[in-house]
Amino acid sequence: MSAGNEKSFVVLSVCGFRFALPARIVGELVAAERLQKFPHATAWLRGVLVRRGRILPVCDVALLLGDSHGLRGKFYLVVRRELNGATEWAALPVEGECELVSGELLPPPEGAPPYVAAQLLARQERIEVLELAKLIPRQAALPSRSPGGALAESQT
Amino acid sequence: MRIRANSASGARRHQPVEQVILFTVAEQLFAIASNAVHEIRSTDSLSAAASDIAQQEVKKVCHTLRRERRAYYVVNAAAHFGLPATRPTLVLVLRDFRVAVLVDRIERMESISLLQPLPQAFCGAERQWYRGLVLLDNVVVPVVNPAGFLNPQEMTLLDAAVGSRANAERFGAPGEVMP
Repeated sequence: MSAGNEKSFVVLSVCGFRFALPARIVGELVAAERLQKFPHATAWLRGVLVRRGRILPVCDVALLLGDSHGLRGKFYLVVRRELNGATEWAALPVEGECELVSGELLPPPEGAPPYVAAQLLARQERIEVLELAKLIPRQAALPSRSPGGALAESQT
Repeated sequence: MRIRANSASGARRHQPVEQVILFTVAEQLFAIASNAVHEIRSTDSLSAAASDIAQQEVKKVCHTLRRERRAYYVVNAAAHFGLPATRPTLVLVLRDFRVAVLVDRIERMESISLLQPLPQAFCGAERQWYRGLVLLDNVVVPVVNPAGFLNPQEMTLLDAAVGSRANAERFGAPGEVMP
């Protein structure tokens, strides 16, 4: 992701913190719907949603950000993931409503985890911009995190 | 006035339809292609043909089953999928693999025409367990992969546990697809 070219961002709340995603990857915000579950071995997936005939995996961003309890969000943010050259939709539980903001992009803070692509300066608030490709693992186990939240495994 | 046939509806008419068996394990619904199942029997009716297998490496297999001069490893589906233990009453004897699967009950047969791929976000063992997902009345049902109940390594361990090389040859080579 080249955060420098982005114009608009969607700000979401997870674990009491605010993060931003490029607006171009956000599809819609939906109210909490019936989460469907079936057996699987991918630690950071809560289940799936059915939305417009599509089956969306629900990725627990809170778990990936280091909250061992995960998040039972009131809403789901439907986002587009690029993976191996293909596009896949996923749903992220979020705590409240999201907002569309524009602002100045700054470099990520020093020592920030690899999934923090930049900082968004909006209304004098600095909001970390997440890069989903580096936040969501490609292996089933939860990535271990060193203090400060840096991923132990490199994300390509 | 001629009305041209809708190409989309034409494509739908040619979508392959697959018959699946819906079964339940620990209140979780699964589907399996009906042509992957050789027969369905009650556990009571097969008790005489079953033998205990003493091994700890593959915990989901505790018995072997002999049917029609073939031997099968009996996989407890609840253990395979990591579900709570149940009291299975039925056995699905698979057609092309040396596997029989213990399940709780059969729900019904269904015809499906759209098997959705398992999203790439699922990156664990489930990628071997399932062929994909199907929507039935807006309920997501995983369609199991009959080859996913025992991988070649597990087959090898079980063949070794069953006994001598002679036994393994009688049962078939590890991972061999039965004729």
